[in-house]
Amino acid sequence: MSVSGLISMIFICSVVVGGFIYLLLLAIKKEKDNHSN
Amino acid sequence: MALKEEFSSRWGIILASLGMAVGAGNLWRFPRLAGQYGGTFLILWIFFLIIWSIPILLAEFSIGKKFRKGVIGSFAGVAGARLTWMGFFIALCTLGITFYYSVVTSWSLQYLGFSIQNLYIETTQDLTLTERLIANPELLKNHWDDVANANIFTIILHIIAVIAGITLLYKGIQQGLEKANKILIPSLFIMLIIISIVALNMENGVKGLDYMFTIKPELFGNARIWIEALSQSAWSTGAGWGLIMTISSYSREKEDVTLNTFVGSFGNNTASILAGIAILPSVFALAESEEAAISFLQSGNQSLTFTVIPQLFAEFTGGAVLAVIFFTAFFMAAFSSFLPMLELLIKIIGDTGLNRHKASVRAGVFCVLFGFPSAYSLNFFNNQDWVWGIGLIISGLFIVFAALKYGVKSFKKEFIDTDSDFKISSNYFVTCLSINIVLGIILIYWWMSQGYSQYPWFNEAGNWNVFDVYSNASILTQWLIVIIIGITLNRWIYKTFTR
Repeated sequence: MSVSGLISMIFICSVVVGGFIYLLLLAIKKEKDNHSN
Repeated sequence: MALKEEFSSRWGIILASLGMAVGAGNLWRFPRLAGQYGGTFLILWIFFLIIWSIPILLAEFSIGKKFRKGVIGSFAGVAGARLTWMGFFIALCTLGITFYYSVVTSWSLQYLGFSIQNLYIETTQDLTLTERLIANPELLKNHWDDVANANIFTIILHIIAVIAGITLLYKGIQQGLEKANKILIPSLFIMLIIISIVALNMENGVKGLDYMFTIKPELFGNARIWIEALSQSAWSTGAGWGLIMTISSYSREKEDVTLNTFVGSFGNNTASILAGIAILPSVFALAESEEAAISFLQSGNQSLTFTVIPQLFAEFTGGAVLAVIFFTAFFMAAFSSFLPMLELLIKIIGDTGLNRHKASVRAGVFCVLFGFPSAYSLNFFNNQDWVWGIGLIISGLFIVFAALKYGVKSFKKEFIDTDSDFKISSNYFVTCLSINIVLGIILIYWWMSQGYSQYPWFNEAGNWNVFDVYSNASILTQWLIVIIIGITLNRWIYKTFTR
Protein backbone atom coordinates (compact mmCIF):
# COMPACT_ATOMS: atom_id res chain seq x y z
CA MET A 1 0.00 0.00 0.00
CA SER A 2 1.33 3.46 -0.86
CA VAL A 3 2.39 5.87 1.89
CA SER A 4 -0.09 8.51 0.74
CA GLY A 5 -2.87 5.89 0.74
CA LEU A 6 -1.92 4.79 4.24
CA ILE A 7 -1.84 8.36 5.59
CA SER A 8 -5.25 9.16 4.04
CA MET A 9 -6.68 5.91 5.41
CA ILE A 10 -5.52 6.73 8.92
CA PHE A 11 -6.89 10.28 8.65
CA ILE A 12 -10.28 9.32 7.18
CA CYS A 13 -10.82 6.37 9.55
CA SER A 14 -9.81 8.52 12.54
CA VAL A 15 -12.41 11.12 11.62
CA VAL A 16 -15.28 8.74 10.74
CA VAL A 17 -14.75 5.59 12.82
CA GLY A 18 -12.91 7.44 15.61
CA GLY A 19 -15.66 10.07 15.63
CA PHE A 20 -18.34 7.38 15.88
CA ILE A 21 -16.59 5.58 18.77
CA TYR A 22 -16.00 8.88 20.60
CA LEU A 23 -19.64 9.93 20.23
CA LEU A 24 -20.84 6.50 21.30
CA LEU A 25 -18.68 6.61 24.44
CA LEU A 26 -19.93 10.13 25.15
CA ALA A 27 -23.51 8.90 24.85
CA ILE A 28 -22.77 6.02 27.25
CA LYS A 29 -21.26 8.48 29.76
CA LYS A 30 -24.20 10.89 29.49
CA GLU A 31 -26.68 8.05 29.91
CA LYS A 32 -24.86 6.86 33.07
CA ASP A 33 -24.79 10.43 34.43
CA ASN A 34 -28.51 10.83 33.77
CA HIS A 35 -29.26 7.55 35.57
CA SER A 36 -27.12 8.47 38.61
CA ASN A 37 -28.91 11.85 38.86
CA MET B 1 -54.93 10.41 18.43
CA ALA B 2 -51.30 9.46 17.62
CA LEU B 3 -49.79 6.10 18.61
CA LYS B 4 -48.46 6.68 22.17
CA GLU B 5 -45.34 4.61 22.68
CA GLU B 6 -41.67 5.27 23.32
CA PHE B 7 -38.28 3.59 23.11
CA SER B 8 -37.12 2.00 26.37
CA SER B 9 -33.72 3.69 26.29
CA ARG B 10 -31.32 5.88 24.34
CA TRP B 11 -29.87 2.73 22.72
CA GLY B 12 -33.26 1.84 21.28
CA ILE B 13 -33.44 5.11 19.36
CA ILE B 14 -29.74 5.05 18.36
CA LEU B 15 -30.07 1.50 16.98
CA ALA B 16 -33.25 2.49 15.16
CA SER B 17 -31.42 5.49 13.60
CA LEU B 18 -28.57 3.21 12.54
CA GLY B 19 -30.98 0.60 11.17
CA MET B 20 -32.78 3.29 9.22
CA ALA B 21 -29.59 4.77 7.73
CA VAL B 22 -27.52 1.63 7.09
CA GLY B 23 -29.18 0.06 4.07
CA ALA B 24 -28.55 -1.34 0.62
CA GLY B 25 -26.92 1.95 -0.46
CA ASN B 26 -24.07 1.42 2.01
CA LEU B 27 -23.29 -1.94 0.42
CA TRP B 28 -23.98 -1.45 -3.24
CA ARG B 29 -23.46 2.26 -3.96
CA PHE B 30 -20.83 3.51 -1.53
CA PRO B 31 -18.07 0.93 -2.37
CA ARG B 32 -18.65 1.58 -6.08
CA LEU B 33 -18.03 5.32 -5.72
CA ALA B 34 -15.22 4.98 -3.17
CA GLY B 35 -13.37 2.58 -5.48
CA GLN B 36 -13.76 4.82 -8.52
CA TYR B 37 -12.96 8.20 -6.97
CA GLY B 38 -10.88 7.22 -3.92
CA GLY B 39 -10.02 9.41 -0.94
CA THR B 40 -11.06 12.59 -2.77
CA PHE B 41 -14.63 11.30 -2.79
CA LEU B 42 -14.38 10.28 0.89
CA ILE B 43 -13.22 13.75 1.99
CA LEU B 44 -16.14 15.38 0.14
CA TRP B 45 -18.56 12.76 1.47
CA ILE B 46 -17.52 13.63 5.05
CA PHE B 47 -17.77 17.35 4.21
CA PHE B 48 -21.36 16.93 2.99
CA LEU B 49 -22.25 14.83 6.03
CA ILE B 50 -21.50 17.93 8.10
CA ILE B 51 -23.01 20.47 5.68
CA TRP B 52 -26.12 18.73 4.30
CA SER B 53 -27.04 15.61 6.24
CA ILE B 54 -26.50 16.47 9.91
CA PRO B 55 -28.34 19.84 9.89
CA ILE B 56 -31.36 18.30 8.12
CA LEU B 57 -31.35 15.26 10.41
CA LEU B 58 -31.15 17.56 13.47
CA ALA B 59 -34.18 19.46 12.17
CA GLU B 60 -36.11 16.26 11.44
CA PHE B 61 -35.27 14.59 14.74
CA SER B 62 -36.33 17.65 16.74
CA ILE B 63 -39.60 18.11 14.80
CA GLY B 64 -40.62 14.48 15.40
CA LYS B 65 -39.71 14.69 19.07
CA LYS B 66 -41.65 17.93 19.55
CA PHE B 67 -44.92 17.00 17.81
CA ARG B 68 -44.88 13.19 18.27
CA LYS B 69 -46.96 12.56 15.16
CA GLY B 70 -46.30 11.01 11.79
CA VAL B 71 -44.49 12.95 9.08
CA ILE B 72 -47.60 14.81 7.84
CA GLY B 73 -48.81 15.83 11.30
CA SER B 74 -45.37 16.77 12.61
CA PHE B 75 -44.51 18.80 9.49
CA ALA B 76 -47.83 20.64 9.72
CA GLY B 77 -46.99 21.37 13.36
CA VAL B 78 -43.83 23.25 12.50
CA ALA B 79 -44.69 24.71 9.07
CA GLY B 80 -48.33 25.54 9.73
CA ALA B 81 -51.64 24.10 8.52
CA ARG B 82 -51.47 25.81 5.11
CA LEU B 83 -48.23 23.99 4.24
CA THR B 84 -49.39 20.51 5.25
CA TRP B 85 -49.11 19.52 1.56
CA MET B 86 -45.32 19.71 1.89
CA GLY B 87 -45.43 17.09 4.66
CA PHE B 88 -47.75 15.09 2.41
CA PHE B 89 -45.13 15.25 -0.37
CA ILE B 90 -42.34 14.12 2.02
CA ALA B 91 -44.49 11.19 3.17
CA LEU B 92 -45.51 10.15 -0.36
CA CYS B 93 -41.93 10.46 -1.62
CA THR B 94 -40.62 8.10 1.06
CA LEU B 95 -43.58 5.78 0.55
CA GLY B 96 -42.70 5.69 -3.16
CA ILE B 97 -39.38 4.23 -2.03
CA THR B 98 -40.94 1.98 0.63
CA PHE B 99 -43.12 0.30 -1.98
CA TYR B 100 -40.09 -0.89 -3.96
CA TYR B 101 -37.74 -1.37 -1.01
CA SER B 102 -39.50 -4.60 -0.06
CA VAL B 103 -38.37 -5.77 -3.51
CA VAL B 104 -34.72 -5.03 -2.64
CA THR B 105 -35.26 -7.13 0.50
CA SER B 106 -36.83 -9.81 -1.69
CA TRP B 107 -33.81 -9.82 -4.05
CA SER B 108 -31.44 -10.10 -1.08
CA LEU B 109 -33.37 -13.16 0.10
CA GLN B 110 -33.31 -14.63 -3.40
CA TYR B 111 -29.53 -14.23 -3.56
CA LEU B 112 -29.08 -15.53 -0.03
CA GLY B 113 -30.93 -18.65 -1.19
CA PHE B 114 -28.85 -18.74 -4.38
CA SER B 115 -25.56 -18.55 -2.44
CA ILE B 116 -26.72 -21.26 0.00
CA GLN B 117 -27.65 -23.42 -3.00
CA ASN B 118 -24.18 -22.85 -4.50
CA LEU B 119 -22.57 -23.77 -1.20
CA TYR B 120 -24.66 -26.97 -1.12
CA ILE B 121 -23.76 -27.91 -4.72
CA GLU B 122 -20.09 -27.23 -4.04
CA THR B 123 -19.99 -29.46 -0.96
CA THR B 124 -22.18 -32.30 -2.24
CA GLN B 125 -21.38 -32.46 -5.97
CA ASP B 126 -17.89 -30.93 -5.89
CA LEU B 127 -18.96 -28.58 -8.68
CA THR B 128 -18.00 -24.96 -8.09
CA LEU B 129 -19.83 -21.94 -9.40
CA THR B 130 -16.72 -21.05 -11.42
CA GLU B 131 -16.92 -24.43 -13.19
CA ARG B 132 -20.59 -23.85 -13.92
CA LEU B 133 -19.73 -20.34 -15.21
CA ILE B 134 -17.20 -21.87 -17.62
CA ALA B 135 -19.94 -24.14 -18.95
CA ASN B 136 -22.38 -21.22 -19.09
CA PRO B 137 -20.70 -17.76 -18.95
CA GLU B 138 -24.10 -16.04 -18.94
CA LEU B 139 -25.31 -17.97 -15.87
CA LEU B 140 -25.23 -15.05 -13.41
CA LYS B 141 -26.55 -12.47 -15.86
CA ASN B 142 -29.41 -14.77 -16.85
CA HIS B 143 -30.12 -15.49 -13.20
CA TRP B 144 -30.34 -11.76 -12.42
CA ASP B 145 -32.61 -11.09 -15.44
CA ASP B 146 -34.79 -13.95 -14.26
CA VAL B 147 -34.93 -12.70 -10.65
CA ALA B 148 -35.69 -9.08 -11.57
CA ASN B 149 -38.45 -9.64 -14.13
CA ALA B 150 -41.78 -11.40 -13.62
CA ASN B 151 -40.29 -13.91 -11.18
CA ILE B 152 -42.87 -15.61 -8.98
CA PHE B 153 -40.36 -16.14 -6.13
CA THR B 154 -39.44 -12.44 -6.13
CA ILE B 155 -43.13 -11.59 -5.83
CA ILE B 156 -43.68 -14.17 -3.08
CA LEU B 157 -40.59 -13.00 -1.16
CA HIS B 158 -41.74 -9.36 -1.55
CA ILE B 159 -45.00 -10.36 0.16
CA ILE B 160 -43.10 -12.35 2.83
CA ALA B 161 -40.77 -9.37 3.51
CA VAL B 162 -43.80 -7.11 4.05
CA ILE B 163 -45.55 -9.67 6.27
CA ALA B 164 -42.36 -10.22 8.32
CA GLY B 165 -41.93 -6.47 8.79
CA ILE B 166 -45.56 -5.93 9.73
CA THR B 167 -45.50 -8.91 12.14
CA LEU B 168 -42.56 -7.33 13.97
CA LEU B 169 -43.98 -3.80 14.04
CA TYR B 170 -47.45 -5.06 15.01
CA LYS B 171 -45.93 -5.83 18.43
CA GLY B 172 -45.08 -2.18 19.03
CA ILE B 173 -41.95 -0.08 19.24
CA GLN B 174 -40.22 -1.76 22.19
CA GLN B 175 -41.25 -5.34 21.44
CA GLY B 176 -40.94 -4.98 17.66
CA LEU B 177 -38.58 -2.39 16.17
CA GLU B 178 -36.29 -2.11 19.19
CA LYS B 179 -35.86 -5.88 19.64
CA ALA B 180 -35.29 -6.49 15.91
CA ASN B 181 -32.61 -3.80 15.73
CA LYS B 182 -30.81 -5.21 18.77
CA ILE B 183 -30.17 -8.33 16.65
CA LEU B 184 -29.91 -6.89 13.14
CA ILE B 185 -27.45 -4.02 13.67
CA PRO B 186 -24.73 -5.73 15.76
CA SER B 187 -24.93 -8.82 13.48
CA LEU B 188 -24.58 -6.62 10.39
CA PHE B 189 -21.47 -4.90 11.77
CA ILE B 190 -19.92 -8.27 12.79
CA MET B 191 -20.54 -9.75 9.32
CA LEU B 192 -18.99 -6.74 7.58
CA ILE B 193 -15.93 -7.04 9.84
CA ILE B 194 -15.60 -10.78 8.99
CA ILE B 195 -15.76 -10.11 5.23
CA SER B 196 -13.26 -7.23 5.62
CA ILE B 197 -10.75 -9.47 7.41
CA VAL B 198 -11.04 -12.22 4.78
CA ALA B 199 -10.83 -9.72 1.90
CA LEU B 200 -7.76 -7.96 3.29
CA ASN B 201 -5.95 -11.27 3.60
CA MET B 202 -6.32 -12.00 -0.13
CA GLU B 203 -3.38 -11.44 -2.41
CA ASN B 204 -3.64 -7.88 -3.83
CA GLY B 205 -6.48 -7.18 -1.40
CA VAL B 206 -4.63 -4.17 -0.01
CA LYS B 207 -4.63 -2.65 -3.52
CA GLY B 208 -8.38 -2.09 -3.04
CA LEU B 209 -7.64 -0.03 0.07
CA ASP B 210 -5.15 2.03 -1.89
CA TYR B 211 -7.83 2.86 -4.47
CA MET B 212 -10.35 3.56 -1.74
CA PHE B 213 -8.29 5.94 0.39
CA THR B 214 -5.68 7.65 -1.80
CA ILE B 215 -6.51 11.34 -2.18
CA LYS B 216 -5.86 12.76 -5.65
CA PRO B 217 -5.98 16.59 -5.27
CA GLU B 218 -6.62 17.11 -9.00
CA LEU B 219 -9.97 15.30 -8.65
CA PHE B 220 -11.29 18.11 -6.42
CA GLY B 221 -11.75 20.04 -9.67
CA ASN B 222 -14.19 17.40 -10.97
CA ALA B 223 -17.79 18.54 -10.40
CA ARG B 224 -19.16 15.01 -10.77
CA ILE B 225 -17.31 13.85 -7.65
CA TRP B 226 -18.79 16.69 -5.59
CA ILE B 227 -22.28 15.79 -6.79
CA GLU B 228 -21.78 12.06 -6.17
CA ALA B 229 -20.45 12.75 -2.66
CA LEU B 230 -23.39 15.03 -1.82
CA SER B 231 -25.92 12.58 -3.30
CA GLN B 232 -24.40 9.63 -1.44
CA SER B 233 -24.52 11.49 1.88
CA ALA B 234 -28.09 12.69 1.28
CA TRP B 235 -29.43 9.27 0.27
CA SER B 236 -27.42 7.15 2.68
CA THR B 237 -27.97 9.02 5.95
CA GLY B 238 -31.72 9.25 5.38
CA ALA B 239 -31.70 13.07 5.59
CA GLY B 240 -34.96 14.43 4.21
CA TRP B 241 -36.77 11.07 4.18
CA GLY B 242 -38.95 11.78 7.23
CA LEU B 243 -37.81 8.47 8.73
CA ILE B 244 -35.85 9.96 11.61
CA MET B 245 -38.87 12.24 12.21
CA THR B 246 -40.97 9.11 12.62
CA ILE B 247 -38.43 7.36 14.86
CA SER B 248 -37.96 10.42 17.09
CA SER B 249 -41.72 10.73 17.54
CA TYR B 250 -41.31 7.70 19.83
CA SER B 251 -38.37 9.20 21.75
CA ARG B 252 -38.47 9.59 25.50
CA GLU B 253 -39.60 12.98 26.77
CA LYS B 254 -36.07 14.26 27.51
CA GLU B 255 -34.15 12.69 24.63
CA ASP B 256 -30.90 14.28 23.47
CA VAL B 257 -31.45 15.49 19.89
CA THR B 258 -27.93 16.59 19.03
CA LEU B 259 -25.81 13.74 20.38
CA ASN B 260 -28.15 11.02 19.10
CA THR B 261 -28.21 12.56 15.62
CA PHE B 262 -24.41 12.74 15.52
CA VAL B 263 -24.05 9.11 16.72
CA GLY B 264 -26.49 7.88 14.06
CA SER B 265 -24.83 9.91 11.28
CA PHE B 266 -21.26 8.89 12.09
CA GLY B 267 -22.43 5.29 12.66
CA ASN B 268 -23.90 5.23 9.16
CA ASN B 269 -20.63 6.48 7.66
CA THR B 270 -18.66 3.93 9.71
CA ALA B 271 -20.83 1.16 8.27
CA SER B 272 -20.14 2.53 4.78
CA ILE B 273 -16.37 2.55 5.37
CA LEU B 274 -16.62 -1.05 6.62
CA ALA B 275 -18.61 -2.04 3.53
CA GLY B 276 -15.94 -0.42 1.35
CA ILE B 277 -13.17 -2.29 3.17
CA ALA B 278 -15.17 -5.52 2.77
CA ILE B 279 -15.95 -5.21 -0.94
CA LEU B 280 -13.15 -3.25 -2.64
CA PRO B 281 -10.22 -5.51 -1.62
CA SER B 282 -12.24 -8.51 -2.93
CA VAL B 283 -12.91 -6.75 -6.24
CA PHE B 284 -9.27 -5.73 -6.72
CA ALA B 285 -7.85 -9.05 -5.51
CA LEU B 286 -10.09 -11.22 -7.66
CA ALA B 287 -10.47 -9.16 -10.86
CA GLU B 288 -8.10 -10.08 -13.73
CA SER B 289 -6.60 -6.58 -13.83
CA GLU B 290 -7.00 -3.16 -12.25
CA GLU B 291 -8.84 -2.00 -15.38
CA ALA B 292 -11.26 -4.92 -15.00
CA ALA B 293 -11.80 -4.01 -11.32
CA ILE B 294 -12.59 -0.38 -12.22
CA SER B 295 -14.90 -1.55 -14.99
CA PHE B 296 -16.77 -3.77 -12.46
CA LEU B 297 -17.21 -0.75 -10.19
CA GLN B 298 -18.66 1.28 -13.06
CA SER B 299 -21.21 -1.41 -13.88
CA GLY B 300 -23.99 -0.07 -11.63
CA ASN B 301 -25.42 -0.94 -8.21
CA GLN B 302 -27.50 -3.96 -9.15
CA SER B 303 -24.91 -5.42 -11.51
CA LEU B 304 -22.08 -5.10 -8.97
CA THR B 305 -24.07 -6.80 -6.22
CA PHE B 306 -25.91 -9.49 -8.11
CA THR B 307 -23.57 -10.48 -10.95
CA VAL B 308 -20.04 -9.28 -10.17
CA ILE B 309 -19.77 -10.15 -6.47
CA PRO B 310 -21.11 -13.74 -6.75
CA GLN B 311 -18.69 -14.29 -9.67
CA LEU B 312 -15.71 -12.88 -7.77
CA PHE B 313 -16.48 -14.75 -4.56
CA ALA B 314 -16.70 -17.99 -6.59
CA GLU B 315 -13.05 -17.64 -7.59
CA PHE B 316 -11.42 -18.61 -4.31
CA THR B 317 -11.69 -21.37 -1.73
CA GLY B 318 -14.21 -20.45 0.93
CA GLY B 319 -15.81 -17.89 -1.38
CA ALA B 320 -19.13 -19.74 -1.27
CA VAL B 321 -19.26 -19.29 2.51
CA LEU B 322 -18.30 -15.63 2.15
CA ALA B 323 -21.10 -15.14 -0.38
CA VAL B 324 -23.61 -16.51 2.16
CA ILE B 325 -22.27 -14.08 4.80
CA PHE B 326 -22.35 -11.17 2.33
CA PHE B 327 -25.96 -11.74 1.26
CA THR B 328 -27.04 -12.28 4.88
CA ALA B 329 -25.48 -8.88 5.69
CA PHE B 330 -27.14 -7.39 2.60
CA PHE B 331 -30.52 -8.75 3.69
CA MET B 332 -30.07 -7.41 7.24
CA ALA B 333 -29.11 -3.96 5.92
CA ALA B 334 -32.10 -3.89 3.55
CA PHE B 335 -34.58 -5.21 6.13
CA SER B 336 -33.38 -2.90 8.93
CA SER B 337 -34.04 0.07 6.61
CA PHE B 338 -37.36 -1.32 5.42
CA LEU B 339 -38.72 -1.51 9.01
CA PRO B 340 -38.65 2.27 9.68
CA MET B 341 -40.18 2.85 6.23
CA LEU B 342 -43.09 0.61 7.21
CA GLU B 343 -43.26 2.36 10.59
CA LEU B 344 -43.54 5.71 8.79
CA LEU B 345 -46.71 4.47 7.11
CA ILE B 346 -48.06 2.84 10.29
CA LYS B 347 -47.54 6.08 12.22
CA ILE B 348 -49.29 8.17 9.56
CA ILE B 349 -52.26 5.78 9.47
CA GLY B 350 -52.25 5.74 13.29
CA ASP B 351 -52.61 9.53 13.26
CA THR B 352 -56.08 9.10 11.75
CA GLY B 353 -57.18 7.54 15.03
CA LEU B 354 -56.58 3.84 14.38
CA ASN B 355 -54.70 1.69 16.90
CA ARG B 356 -51.33 0.09 16.06
CA HIS B 357 -52.79 -3.29 15.10
CA LYS B 358 -55.28 -1.89 12.60
CA ALA B 359 -52.75 0.61 11.25
CA SER B 360 -50.14 -2.16 10.79
CA VAL B 361 -52.48 -4.41 8.83
CA ARG B 362 -53.53 -1.54 6.54
CA ALA B 363 -49.89 -0.53 6.01
CA GLY B 364 -49.04 -4.13 5.09
CA VAL B 365 -51.85 -4.32 2.54
CA PHE B 366 -50.76 -1.02 0.94
CA CYS B 367 -47.13 -2.19 0.72
CA VAL B 368 -47.99 -5.55 -0.83
CA LEU B 369 -50.27 -3.95 -3.43
CA PHE B 370 -48.18 -0.91 -4.36
CA GLY B 371 -44.90 -2.89 -4.27
CA PHE B 372 -46.21 -5.46 -6.72
CA PRO B 373 -45.39 -3.54 -9.95
CA SER B 374 -41.74 -3.11 -8.86
CA ALA B 375 -41.54 -6.78 -7.88
CA TYR B 376 -42.87 -7.68 -11.32
CA SER B 377 -40.87 -5.32 -13.51
CA LEU B 378 -37.29 -4.03 -13.16
CA ASN B 379 -38.14 -1.08 -15.39
CA PHE B 380 -40.91 -0.01 -13.04
CA PHE B 381 -38.53 -0.46 -10.09
CA ASN B 382 -35.85 1.68 -11.76
CA ASN B 383 -38.40 4.38 -12.62
CA GLN B 384 -39.61 4.62 -9.02
CA ASP B 385 -36.03 4.60 -7.72
CA TRP B 386 -35.20 7.45 -10.10
CA VAL B 387 -38.34 9.56 -9.48
CA TRP B 388 -38.46 9.35 -5.68
CA GLY B 389 -34.66 9.21 -5.20
CA ILE B 390 -34.41 12.70 -6.71
CA GLY B 391 -37.68 13.64 -4.98
CA LEU B 392 -35.90 13.17 -1.64
CA ILE B 393 -33.87 16.29 -2.38
CA ILE B 394 -37.16 18.22 -2.63
CA SER B 395 -38.20 16.66 0.69
CA GLY B 396 -34.93 17.83 2.25
CA LEU B 397 -35.53 21.32 0.89
CA PHE B 398 -39.06 21.36 2.38
CA ILE B 399 -37.61 20.52 5.81
CA VAL B 400 -35.00 23.28 5.44
CA PHE B 401 -37.78 25.66 4.35
CA ALA B 402 -39.88 24.76 7.43
CA ALA B 403 -36.97 25.55 9.77
CA LEU B 404 -36.22 28.81 7.95
CA LYS B 405 -39.89 29.81 8.02
CA TYR B 406 -40.06 29.19 11.75
CA GLY B 407 -36.90 31.27 12.26
CA VAL B 408 -33.67 29.28 12.35
CA LYS B 409 -32.35 30.64 15.63
CA SER B 410 -35.69 30.20 17.43
CA PHE B 411 -36.02 26.75 15.86
CA LYS B 412 -32.60 25.71 17.13
CA LYS B 413 -33.28 27.09 20.62
CA GLU B 414 -36.80 25.70 21.03
CA PHE B 415 -36.51 22.41 19.10
CA ILE B 416 -32.89 21.22 19.10
CA ASP B 417 -31.18 22.66 22.18
CA THR B 418 -33.86 21.54 24.62
CA ASP B 419 -32.54 18.47 26.47
CA SER B 420 -29.38 18.31 24.29
CA ASP B 421 -26.22 17.69 26.32
CA PHE B 422 -24.02 19.53 23.86
CA LYS B 423 -25.13 22.33 21.61
CA ILE B 424 -24.09 23.10 18.05
CA SER B 425 -23.22 26.65 17.06
CA SER B 426 -26.10 28.77 15.78
CA ASN B 427 -23.88 30.13 13.00
CA TYR B 428 -23.13 26.59 11.80
CA PHE B 429 -26.81 25.66 11.71
CA VAL B 430 -27.95 28.88 10.01
CA THR B 431 -25.13 28.78 7.44
CA CYS B 432 -25.64 25.13 6.54
CA LEU B 433 -29.40 25.43 6.10
CA SER B 434 -28.93 28.48 3.86
CA ILE B 435 -26.25 26.73 1.77
CA ASN B 436 -28.45 23.63 1.51
CA ILE B 437 -31.06 25.49 -0.52
CA VAL B 438 -28.45 26.18 -3.21
CA LEU B 439 -27.02 22.64 -2.94
CA GLY B 440 -30.47 21.07 -3.27
CA ILE B 441 -31.29 23.08 -6.42
CA ILE B 442 -27.89 22.20 -7.96
CA LEU B 443 -28.45 18.50 -7.18
CA ILE B 444 -31.89 18.37 -8.78
CA TYR B 445 -30.68 20.27 -11.86
CA TRP B 446 -27.59 18.02 -12.16
CA TRP B 447 -29.41 14.70 -11.98
CA MET B 448 -32.15 15.85 -14.36
CA SER B 449 -29.60 17.05 -16.92
CA GLN B 450 -27.54 13.84 -17.03
CA GLY B 451 -29.23 12.53 -20.14
CA TYR B 452 -30.00 9.03 -18.85
CA SER B 453 -33.06 9.18 -21.07
CA GLN B 454 -32.65 9.64 -24.82
CA TYR B 455 -35.76 11.81 -24.84
CA PRO B 456 -35.90 13.56 -21.45
CA TRP B 457 -39.05 15.58 -22.14
CA PHE B 458 -40.73 14.65 -25.46
CA ASN B 459 -40.47 11.36 -27.35
CA GLU B 460 -39.78 10.92 -31.07
CA ALA B 461 -43.42 11.52 -31.91
CA GLY B 462 -43.35 14.80 -29.97
CA ASN B 463 -45.50 13.50 -27.09
CA TRP B 464 -44.82 14.11 -23.38
CA ASN B 465 -42.42 11.23 -22.58
CA VAL B 466 -44.06 10.21 -19.31
CA PHE B 467 -43.62 6.43 -19.62
CA ASP B 468 -39.85 6.44 -20.15
CA VAL B 469 -37.95 4.95 -17.17
CA TYR B 470 -35.46 7.79 -16.71
CA SER B 471 -37.20 10.74 -18.39
CA ASN B 472 -37.57 14.12 -16.71
CA ALA B 473 -41.16 14.10 -17.96
CA SER B 474 -41.84 11.05 -15.79
CA ILE B 475 -40.20 12.67 -12.77
CA LEU B 476 -42.06 15.96 -13.12
CA THR B 477 -45.42 14.31 -13.82
CA GLN B 478 -45.30 12.10 -10.72
CA TRP B 479 -44.06 14.91 -8.48
CA LEU B 480 -46.75 17.28 -9.77
CA ILE B 481 -49.52 14.71 -9.28
CA VAL B 482 -48.53 14.39 -5.60
CA ILE B 483 -48.13 18.16 -5.13
CA ILE B 484 -51.45 18.99 -6.84
CA ILE B 485 -53.31 16.36 -4.77
CA GLY B 486 -51.58 17.68 -1.63
CA ILE B 487 -52.47 21.33 -2.32
CA THR B 488 -56.04 20.53 -3.41
CA LEU B 489 -56.78 18.36 -0.38
CA ASN B 490 -54.57 20.36 2.00
CA ARG B 491 -57.32 21.16 4.52
CA TRP B 492 -58.66 17.58 4.58
CA ILE B 493 -55.14 16.15 4.94
CA TYR B 494 -54.44 18.53 7.83
CA LYS B 495 -57.66 17.62 9.65
CA THR B 496 -57.24 13.88 9.06
CA PHE B 497 -53.60 13.49 10.07
CA THR B 498 -53.39 15.92 13.00
CA ARG B 499 -56.13 14.50 15.19
